Amino acid sequence: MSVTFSVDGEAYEIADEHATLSLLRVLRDVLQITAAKNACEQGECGSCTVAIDGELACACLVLAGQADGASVETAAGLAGAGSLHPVQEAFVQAGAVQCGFCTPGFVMATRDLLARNADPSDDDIREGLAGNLCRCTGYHKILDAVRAAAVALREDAET
Amino acid sequence: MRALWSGATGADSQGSRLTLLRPRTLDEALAARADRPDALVVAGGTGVLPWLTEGLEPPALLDLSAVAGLRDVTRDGDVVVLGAGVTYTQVIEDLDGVLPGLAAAARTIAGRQVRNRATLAGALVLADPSGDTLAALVAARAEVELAGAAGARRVAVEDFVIAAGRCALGPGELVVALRVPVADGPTAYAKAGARNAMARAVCGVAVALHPARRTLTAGVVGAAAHPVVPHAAEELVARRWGALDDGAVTAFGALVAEAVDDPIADVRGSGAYRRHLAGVLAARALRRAWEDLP
Repeated sequence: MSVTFSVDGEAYEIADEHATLSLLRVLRDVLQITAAKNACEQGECGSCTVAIDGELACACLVLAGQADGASVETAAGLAGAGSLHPVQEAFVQAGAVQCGFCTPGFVMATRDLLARNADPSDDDIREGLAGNLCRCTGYHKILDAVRAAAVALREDAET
Repeated sequence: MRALWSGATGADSQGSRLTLLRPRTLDEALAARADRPDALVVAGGTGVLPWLTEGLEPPALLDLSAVAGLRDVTRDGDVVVLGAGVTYTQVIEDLDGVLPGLAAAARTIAGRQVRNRATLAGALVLADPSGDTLAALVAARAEVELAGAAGARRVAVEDFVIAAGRCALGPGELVVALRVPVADGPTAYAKAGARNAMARAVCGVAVALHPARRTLTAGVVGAAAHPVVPHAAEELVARRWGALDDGAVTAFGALVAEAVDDPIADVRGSGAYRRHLAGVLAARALRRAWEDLP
């Protein structure tokens, strides 16, 4: 049985003995894709957040074999040529990045939230990002970043 | 360091010793289950992957995530049939209209990443007695549909979850669906836990009102080692349906608390605290649902 999936547009084939590793371990240890981080490896912190066929997921909770045929996206795939994705730009501008370890997961979760709710209230943001933890910022700047990203994406949509 | 997954990086990275079985149809899955009763079943992965990370080495993994149709939702008269692969997100986004109580409970579970993958059936098989959807399923008087070599059978949810980590799944059996009656009245779910999200229920109470029959059904999780059906409390509401005043709501709460006759005591709370919570949350849920009566 061969397992194949794409990560940020690149196709990969996974050996059988790697199919029962977690997707997170395959991304980081086998494919050397580090945009999904490993902090808790139990699905509690969200630092390994990726999108699998457009659905937000913790890569540490997915068997690599379960991603067969899927399109996996990490934060590393969001930037365009020469420019950051609006969510990434908002995090940088808002000062929402301190050590940066949680940031890729938060960026993926924010993109997902704003795709489902283009004008979230603060309560919506807190609920939408409940699966992501930050130990540095105290979350205030992260909320600022999400609000700014929401505005930027709405403006992009209108133009 | 994790027993299975330490080692070098790159394509030569130390692999896993586990065998992965990945059936594509329910028949294949049942055959695999009969053939490898020692295989650990995994679907959503949110319960099993942390065990693997901690070093669990099952003889094989039986992954159901590729079984065709397991995420389907169908109707059988007044019953919604949820395939065993149906996730919390599916319930929240697609079934809030017909199963509002179940959707309300599902919304309180974990975070978005987990809800997208975790299955309701998985929660039943894992038999964590704090499972939020267990409360709503019990209140809805839902049934678990099982299939195996001996054929198909149905078990009431409250009978399926026997104790913490123990369910009524027989050897060679798989959960294939949950059968949940469509809500015929207001519902509510009240939960207490350590945080607003990513927290197990220290206690959760779901209530469902059935105005056409003038009855209430309820389910309590988190307080005991198995979901509790508070029969005496339900009977009280049926008796007092036309005149449900504050005293009756308080009495309802007290009867729900009494129904938890063997509460859990652990780091999250004492037995007495859990019984107290059951009473408070039951009264709160009843008031919320009652407000929604037409």
